[in-house]
Amino acid sequence: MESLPRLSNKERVVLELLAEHGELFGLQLVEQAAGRLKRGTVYVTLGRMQEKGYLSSRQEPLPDGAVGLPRRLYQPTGYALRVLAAWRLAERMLRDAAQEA
Amino acid sequence: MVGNGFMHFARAWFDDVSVTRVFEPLVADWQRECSAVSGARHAWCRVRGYGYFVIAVLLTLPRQVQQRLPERVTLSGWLLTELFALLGILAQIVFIQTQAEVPFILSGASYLVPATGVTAISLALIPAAIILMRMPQVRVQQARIMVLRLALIAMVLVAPVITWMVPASNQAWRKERFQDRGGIAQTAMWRGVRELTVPELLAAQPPTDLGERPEQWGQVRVAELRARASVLMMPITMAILGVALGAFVRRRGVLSAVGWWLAATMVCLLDIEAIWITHAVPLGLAAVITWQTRRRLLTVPF
Repeated sequence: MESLPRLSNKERVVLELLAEHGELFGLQLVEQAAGRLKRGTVYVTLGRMQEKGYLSSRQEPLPDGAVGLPRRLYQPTGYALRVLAAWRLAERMLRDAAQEA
Repeated sequence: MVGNGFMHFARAWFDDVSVTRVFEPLVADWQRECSAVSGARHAWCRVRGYGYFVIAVLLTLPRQVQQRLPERVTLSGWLLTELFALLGILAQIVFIQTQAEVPFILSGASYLVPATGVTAISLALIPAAIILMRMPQVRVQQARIMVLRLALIAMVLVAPVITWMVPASNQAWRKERFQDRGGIAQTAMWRGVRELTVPELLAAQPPTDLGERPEQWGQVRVAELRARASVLMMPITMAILGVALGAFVRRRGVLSAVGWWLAATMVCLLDIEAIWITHAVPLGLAAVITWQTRRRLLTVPF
Protein backbone atom coordinates (compact mmCIF):
# COMPACT_ATOMS: atom_id res chain seq x y z
CA MET A 1 0.00 0.00 0.00
CA GLU A 2 1.26 3.45 -0.86
CA SER A 3 2.02 5.50 2.24
CA LEU A 4 -0.11 8.54 3.01
CA PRO A 5 1.38 11.98 2.46
CA ARG A 6 2.75 13.39 5.69
CA LEU A 7 2.62 16.98 6.83
CA SER A 8 4.63 18.17 9.83
CA ASN A 9 3.50 21.17 11.87
CA LYS A 10 6.11 23.41 10.25
CA GLU A 11 5.19 22.20 6.76
CA ARG A 12 1.56 22.92 7.47
CA VAL A 13 2.37 26.46 8.63
CA VAL A 14 4.34 27.02 5.41
CA LEU A 15 1.51 25.68 3.25
CA GLU A 16 -1.13 27.71 5.04
CA LEU A 17 0.87 30.90 4.57
CA LEU A 18 1.57 30.18 0.92
CA ALA A 19 -2.06 29.21 0.31
CA GLU A 20 -3.03 32.58 1.73
CA HIS A 21 -0.38 34.77 0.07
CA GLY A 22 0.41 32.83 -3.09
CA GLU A 23 4.16 33.37 -3.34
CA LEU A 24 6.66 34.33 -0.62
CA PHE A 25 10.39 34.44 0.12
CA GLY A 26 11.80 32.38 3.00
CA LEU A 27 12.35 35.51 5.06
CA GLN A 28 8.77 36.67 4.46
CA LEU A 29 7.48 33.28 5.56
CA VAL A 30 9.33 33.64 8.87
CA GLU A 31 7.96 37.15 9.36
CA GLN A 32 4.40 36.10 8.54
CA ALA A 33 4.57 33.01 10.74
CA ALA A 34 4.86 35.11 13.92
CA GLY A 35 7.29 32.82 15.69
CA ARG A 36 5.97 29.51 14.37
CA LEU A 37 8.86 29.25 11.88
CA LYS A 38 12.51 29.85 12.77
CA ARG A 39 14.96 31.55 10.48
CA GLY A 40 17.69 28.94 10.91
CA THR A 41 15.46 25.98 10.07
CA VAL A 42 12.99 27.34 7.54
CA TYR A 43 15.25 26.82 4.51
CA VAL A 44 15.82 23.18 5.43
CA THR A 45 12.05 22.75 5.76
CA LEU A 46 11.48 24.46 2.41
CA GLY A 47 14.10 22.25 0.76
CA ARG A 48 12.47 19.12 2.16
CA MET A 49 9.04 20.29 0.99
CA GLN A 50 10.39 20.81 -2.53
CA GLU A 51 11.74 17.28 -2.44
CA LYS A 52 8.31 15.97 -1.40
CA GLY A 53 6.68 17.85 -4.26
CA TYR A 54 4.78 20.26 -2.00
CA LEU A 55 6.50 23.39 -3.27
CA SER A 56 7.89 24.78 -6.45
CA SER A 57 10.24 27.74 -6.53
CA ARG A 58 11.76 30.28 -8.85
CA GLN A 59 14.58 32.75 -8.51
CA GLU A 60 13.66 36.40 -8.31
CA PRO A 61 15.28 38.33 -11.18
CA LEU A 62 17.96 40.60 -9.71
CA PRO A 63 17.08 44.28 -9.97
CA ASP A 64 19.49 46.45 -11.99
CA GLY A 65 22.61 47.27 -10.01
CA ALA A 66 21.79 44.81 -7.28
CA VAL A 67 24.60 42.63 -5.97
CA GLY A 68 24.46 39.30 -4.20
CA LEU A 69 22.56 36.13 -4.82
CA PRO A 70 19.04 36.22 -6.31
CA ARG A 71 16.36 35.38 -3.74
CA ARG A 72 14.07 32.40 -4.11
CA LEU A 73 10.27 32.64 -4.19
CA TYR A 74 8.17 29.68 -3.13
CA GLN A 75 4.67 28.69 -4.21
CA PRO A 76 2.57 25.65 -3.25
CA THR A 77 1.91 22.94 -5.83
CA GLY A 78 -1.61 21.70 -6.59
CA TYR A 79 -0.72 18.45 -4.89
CA ALA A 80 0.27 20.31 -1.71
CA LEU A 81 -2.99 22.26 -1.67
CA ARG A 82 -4.96 19.02 -2.00
CA VAL A 83 -2.95 17.48 0.86
CA LEU A 84 -3.61 20.56 2.98
CA ALA A 85 -7.34 20.44 2.21
CA ALA A 86 -7.47 16.74 3.09
CA TRP A 87 -5.53 17.41 6.29
CA ARG A 88 -7.93 20.16 7.34
CA LEU A 89 -10.94 17.95 6.56
CA ALA A 90 -9.50 15.04 8.55
CA GLU A 91 -8.76 17.36 11.44
CA ARG A 92 -12.31 18.74 11.42
CA MET A 93 -13.83 15.26 11.30
CA LEU A 94 -11.66 14.09 14.19
CA ARG A 95 -12.61 17.14 16.23
CA ASP A 96 -16.34 16.59 15.52
CA ALA A 97 -16.03 12.91 16.44
CA ALA A 98 -14.29 13.82 19.69
CA GLN A 99 -17.02 16.30 20.58
CA GLU A 100 -19.77 13.76 19.84
CA ALA A 101 -18.05 11.19 22.06
CA MET B 1 29.54 40.83 0.25
CA VAL B 2 28.19 39.21 3.39
CA GLY B 3 27.79 35.45 3.05
CA ASN B 4 30.10 34.91 0.07
CA GLY B 5 32.61 32.99 2.19
CA PHE B 6 29.82 30.81 3.53
CA MET B 7 28.69 30.03 0.00
CA HIS B 8 32.24 28.94 -0.88
CA PHE B 9 32.15 26.64 2.14
CA ALA B 10 28.71 25.28 1.24
CA ARG B 11 29.69 24.61 -2.39
CA ALA B 12 32.87 22.86 -1.27
CA TRP B 13 31.20 20.54 1.24
CA PHE B 14 27.58 20.04 0.16
CA ASP B 15 25.88 18.60 -2.91
CA ASP B 16 24.27 20.81 -5.54
CA VAL B 17 20.72 20.10 -4.38
CA SER B 18 21.47 21.21 -0.80
CA VAL B 19 23.31 24.28 -2.06
CA THR B 20 20.45 25.31 -4.36
CA ARG B 21 17.59 24.51 -2.00
CA VAL B 22 19.01 25.43 1.39
CA PHE B 23 22.14 27.57 1.35
CA GLU B 24 21.54 29.86 -1.63
CA PRO B 25 18.08 31.04 -0.46
CA LEU B 26 19.37 31.44 3.10
CA VAL B 27 22.35 33.55 2.04
CA ALA B 28 20.31 35.51 -0.55
CA ASP B 29 17.73 36.54 2.05
CA TRP B 30 20.50 37.28 4.52
CA GLN B 31 22.34 39.51 2.02
CA ARG B 32 19.15 41.40 1.19
CA GLU B 33 18.28 41.82 4.85
CA CYS B 34 21.74 43.14 5.76
CA SER B 35 21.96 45.46 2.77
CA ALA B 36 18.78 47.20 3.96
CA VAL B 37 20.30 48.25 7.31
CA SER B 38 23.48 50.00 8.39
CA GLY B 39 25.71 50.57 11.41
CA ALA B 40 25.08 48.48 14.49
CA ARG B 41 22.00 46.87 12.94
CA HIS B 42 24.09 45.72 9.98
CA ALA B 43 26.66 44.19 12.36
CA TRP B 44 23.88 42.46 14.29
CA CYS B 45 22.36 41.19 11.03
CA ARG B 46 25.72 39.65 10.10
CA VAL B 47 26.15 37.98 13.47
CA ARG B 48 22.66 36.49 13.37
CA GLY B 49 23.34 35.24 9.85
CA TYR B 50 26.37 33.28 11.07
CA GLY B 51 24.12 31.52 13.55
CA TYR B 52 21.47 30.73 10.92
CA PHE B 53 24.13 29.32 8.64
CA VAL B 54 25.61 27.09 11.33
CA ILE B 55 22.12 25.74 12.16
CA ALA B 56 21.46 25.05 8.47
CA VAL B 57 24.82 23.24 8.18
CA LEU B 58 24.05 21.08 11.21
CA LEU B 59 20.57 20.22 9.91
CA THR B 60 21.79 19.44 6.38
CA LEU B 61 24.81 17.43 7.49
CA PRO B 62 22.97 14.14 8.24
CA ARG B 63 21.46 14.07 4.77
CA GLN B 64 24.85 14.83 3.27
CA VAL B 65 26.61 12.09 5.20
CA GLN B 66 23.92 9.55 4.30
CA GLN B 67 24.38 10.22 0.59
CA ARG B 68 25.13 7.02 -1.31
CA LEU B 69 28.66 6.83 -2.63
CA PRO B 70 30.15 4.42 -5.18
CA GLU B 71 31.51 1.29 -3.52
CA ARG B 72 35.09 2.02 -4.57
CA VAL B 73 35.02 5.36 -2.74
CA THR B 74 33.61 3.84 0.45
CA LEU B 75 36.00 0.91 0.38
CA SER B 76 39.03 3.06 -0.42
CA GLY B 77 38.14 5.45 2.42
CA TRP B 78 37.80 2.66 4.97
CA LEU B 79 40.91 0.78 3.90
CA LEU B 80 43.11 3.86 3.76
CA THR B 81 41.98 5.11 7.16
CA GLU B 82 42.42 1.73 8.83
CA LEU B 83 45.84 1.24 7.26
CA PHE B 84 47.14 4.65 8.31
CA ALA B 85 45.56 4.33 11.77
CA LEU B 86 47.29 1.00 12.29
CA LEU B 87 50.63 2.44 11.19
CA GLY B 88 50.07 5.41 13.49
CA ILE B 89 49.33 3.18 16.49
CA LEU B 90 52.47 1.12 15.90
CA ALA B 91 54.64 4.21 15.43
CA GLN B 92 53.36 5.81 18.63
CA ILE B 93 53.75 2.65 20.72
CA VAL B 94 57.36 2.27 19.65
CA PHE B 95 57.95 5.99 20.32
CA ILE B 96 56.40 5.95 23.81
CA GLN B 97 58.06 2.73 24.86
CA THR B 98 61.40 4.17 23.81
CA GLN B 99 60.77 7.41 25.71
CA ALA B 100 59.57 5.57 28.83
CA GLU B 101 63.02 4.00 29.31
CA VAL B 102 61.58 0.60 30.13
CA PRO B 103 62.10 -2.62 28.19
CA PHE B 104 59.51 -3.24 25.49
CA ILE B 105 56.74 -5.45 26.87
CA LEU B 106 53.71 -6.69 25.02
CA SER B 107 51.22 -6.03 27.84
CA GLY B 108 52.55 -2.47 28.16
CA ALA B 109 52.03 -2.00 24.46
CA SER B 110 48.45 -3.24 24.71
CA TYR B 111 47.68 -0.64 27.41
CA LEU B 112 48.81 2.04 25.01
CA VAL B 113 46.46 1.02 22.20
CA PRO B 114 43.39 3.07 23.30
CA ALA B 115 45.33 6.32 23.79
CA THR B 116 47.41 5.93 20.66
CA GLY B 117 44.36 4.79 18.70
CA VAL B 118 42.55 8.05 19.46
CA THR B 119 45.27 10.19 17.92
CA ALA B 120 46.13 7.67 15.21
CA ILE B 121 42.55 7.52 13.86
CA SER B 122 42.39 11.30 13.71
CA LEU B 123 45.81 11.63 12.10
CA ALA B 124 45.01 8.85 9.63
CA LEU B 125 42.35 11.10 8.14
CA ILE B 126 45.01 13.46 6.76
CA PRO B 127 46.77 11.03 4.41
CA ALA B 128 43.49 9.17 3.70
CA ALA B 129 41.82 12.43 2.67
CA ILE B 130 44.77 13.50 0.55
CA ILE B 131 44.90 10.22 -1.34
CA LEU B 132 41.11 10.07 -1.80
CA MET B 133 41.09 13.61 -3.12
CA ARG B 134 43.82 12.76 -5.63
CA MET B 135 42.30 9.53 -6.94
CA PRO B 136 41.49 10.26 -10.59
CA GLN B 137 38.43 8.00 -10.65
CA VAL B 138 36.91 9.59 -7.52
CA ARG B 139 35.00 12.84 -7.83
CA VAL B 140 36.26 15.51 -5.46
CA GLN B 141 32.89 16.06 -3.83
CA GLN B 142 32.47 12.33 -3.20
CA ALA B 143 35.90 12.25 -1.59
CA ARG B 144 34.96 15.14 0.67
CA ILE B 145 31.74 13.43 1.75
CA MET B 146 33.62 10.22 2.47
CA VAL B 147 36.21 12.05 4.57
CA LEU B 148 33.46 13.86 6.45
CA ARG B 149 31.70 10.57 7.08
CA LEU B 150 34.92 8.99 8.34
CA ALA B 151 35.54 11.96 10.63
CA LEU B 152 32.06 11.75 12.16
CA ILE B 153 32.39 8.01 12.69
CA ALA B 154 35.81 8.60 14.27
CA MET B 155 34.24 11.09 16.68
CA VAL B 156 31.59 8.55 17.69
CA LEU B 157 34.33 5.97 18.30
CA VAL B 158 36.63 8.36 20.14
CA ALA B 159 34.00 9.63 22.63
CA PRO B 160 33.69 6.44 24.76
CA VAL B 161 37.40 5.69 24.41
CA ILE B 162 38.51 9.01 25.93
CA THR B 163 35.73 8.83 28.51
CA TRP B 164 36.50 5.39 29.96
CA MET B 165 39.05 3.29 28.09
CA VAL B 166 42.02 5.65 27.98
CA PRO B 167 41.84 6.50 31.72
CA ALA B 168 41.67 2.80 32.62
CA SER B 169 44.50 1.81 30.31
CA ASN B 170 46.68 4.74 31.48
CA GLN B 171 46.35 3.56 35.07
CA ALA B 172 47.05 -0.05 34.15
CA TRP B 173 50.14 1.01 32.22
CA ARG B 174 51.51 3.05 35.17
CA LYS B 175 51.00 0.17 37.58
CA GLU B 176 52.76 -2.16 35.19
CA ARG B 177 55.72 0.22 35.02
CA PHE B 178 55.99 0.41 38.82
CA GLN B 179 55.82 -3.35 39.09
CA ASP B 180 58.68 -3.64 36.60
CA ARG B 181 60.77 -1.39 38.86
CA GLY B 182 60.30 -3.68 41.83
CA GLY B 183 56.96 -3.66 43.57
CA ILE B 184 54.12 -1.15 43.81
CA ALA B 185 55.04 2.07 45.62
CA GLN B 186 52.51 4.30 47.38
CA THR B 187 52.41 6.71 44.43
CA ALA B 188 51.44 3.86 42.13
CA MET B 189 48.19 3.54 44.06
CA TRP B 190 47.24 7.13 43.31
CA ARG B 191 45.64 8.17 40.10
CA GLY B 192 46.73 11.00 37.90
CA VAL B 193 44.22 13.28 36.23
CA ARG B 194 44.58 11.42 32.96
CA GLU B 195 43.46 8.28 34.73
CA LEU B 196 40.06 9.69 35.68
CA THR B 197 36.94 9.02 33.65
CA VAL B 198 34.91 11.95 32.34
CA PRO B 199 32.09 11.41 34.91
CA GLU B 200 34.76 11.59 37.66
CA LEU B 201 36.13 14.80 36.14
CA LEU B 202 32.65 16.30 36.08
CA ALA B 203 32.11 15.62 39.80
CA ALA B 204 32.34 18.59 42.16
CA GLN B 205 34.75 16.77 44.51
CA PRO B 206 37.91 14.95 43.42
CA PRO B 207 38.13 11.18 44.00
CA THR B 208 39.99 10.25 47.19
CA ASP B 209 42.80 8.48 45.34
CA LEU B 210 43.66 11.48 43.16
CA GLY B 211 47.34 12.38 43.40
CA GLU B 212 46.71 16.13 42.81
CA ARG B 213 46.04 18.47 45.73
CA PRO B 214 42.26 19.03 46.20
CA GLU B 215 42.53 22.87 46.15
CA GLN B 216 43.77 22.62 42.56
CA TRP B 217 40.86 20.39 41.54
CA GLY B 218 38.92 23.09 39.71
CA GLN B 219 41.83 24.13 37.50
CA VAL B 220 43.01 20.57 36.97
CA ARG B 221 39.68 19.21 35.84
CA VAL B 222 38.87 22.16 33.57
CA ALA B 223 42.24 21.77 31.83
CA GLU B 224 41.75 18.04 31.43
CA LEU B 225 38.16 18.33 30.16
CA ARG B 226 39.30 20.98 27.68
CA ALA B 227 42.07 18.73 26.46
CA ARG B 228 39.68 15.81 26.01
CA ALA B 229 37.20 18.02 24.15
CA SER B 230 39.99 19.01 21.79
CA VAL B 231 40.84 15.34 21.25
CA LEU B 232 37.17 14.71 20.41
CA MET B 233 37.24 17.49 17.82
CA MET B 234 40.51 16.24 16.35
CA PRO B 235 38.98 14.02 13.61
CA ILE B 236 37.05 16.95 12.15
CA THR B 237 40.12 19.19 12.30
CA MET B 238 42.29 16.58 10.64
CA ALA B 239 39.64 15.84 8.00
CA ILE B 240 39.45 19.53 7.04
CA LEU B 241 43.22 19.71 6.94
CA GLY B 242 43.44 16.60 4.78
CA VAL B 243 40.83 17.88 2.33
CA ALA B 244 42.57 21.25 2.14
CA LEU B 245 45.92 19.60 1.50
CA GLY B 246 44.42 17.21 -1.03
CA ALA B 247 43.02 20.12 -3.00
CA PHE B 248 46.18 22.18 -2.69
CA VAL B 249 49.06 19.94 -3.57
CA ARG B 250 49.08 18.55 -7.08
CA ARG B 251 51.80 15.96 -7.11
CA ARG B 252 50.99 12.80 -5.21
CA GLY B 253 54.52 12.24 -3.87
CA VAL B 254 54.67 15.70 -2.40
CA LEU B 255 51.24 15.42 -0.84
CA SER B 256 52.04 12.27 1.00
CA ALA B 257 55.22 13.84 2.29
CA VAL B 258 53.37 16.91 3.57
CA GLY B 259 50.67 14.79 5.18
CA TRP B 260 53.15 12.53 6.87
CA TRP B 261 55.33 15.42 7.99
CA LEU B 262 52.32 16.90 9.79
CA ALA B 263 51.32 13.53 11.20
CA ALA B 264 54.85 12.86 12.46
CA THR B 265 55.04 16.32 14.06
CA MET B 266 51.87 15.70 15.96
CA VAL B 267 52.84 12.19 17.01
CA CYS B 268 55.95 13.67 18.63
CA LEU B 269 53.82 16.15 20.58
CA LEU B 270 52.04 13.56 22.62
CA ASP B 271 51.68 15.65 25.77
CA ILE B 272 47.94 16.15 26.23
CA GLU B 273 48.46 19.89 26.88
CA ALA B 274 50.32 20.15 23.59
CA ILE B 275 47.23 18.96 21.71
CA TRP B 276 45.89 22.50 21.93
CA ILE B 277 49.01 23.71 20.17
CA THR B 278 48.82 20.96 17.57
CA HIS B 279 45.19 21.87 16.98
CA ALA B 280 45.94 25.53 16.56
CA VAL B 281 48.66 24.89 13.99
CA PRO B 282 46.68 22.64 11.59
CA LEU B 283 43.60 24.79 11.98
CA GLY B 284 45.52 27.91 11.06
CA LEU B 285 47.30 26.10 8.26
CA ALA B 286 44.03 24.68 6.91
CA ALA B 287 42.50 28.15 7.02
CA VAL B 288 45.41 29.68 5.11
CA ILE B 289 45.51 26.89 2.54
CA THR B 290 41.75 27.00 2.05
CA TRP B 291 41.90 30.76 1.62
CA GLN B 292 44.77 30.61 -0.83
CA THR B 293 43.19 27.85 -2.88
CA ARG B 294 39.61 29.04 -2.70
CA ARG B 295 39.38 29.62 -6.40
CA ARG B 296 40.90 26.27 -7.18
CA LEU B 297 38.52 24.49 -4.80
CA LEU B 298 35.57 26.08 -6.50
CA THR B 299 36.69 25.26 -10.01
CA VAL B 300 37.08 21.57 -9.26
CA PRO B 301 34.39 19.88 -11.38
CA PHE B 302 31.67 18.35 -9.20
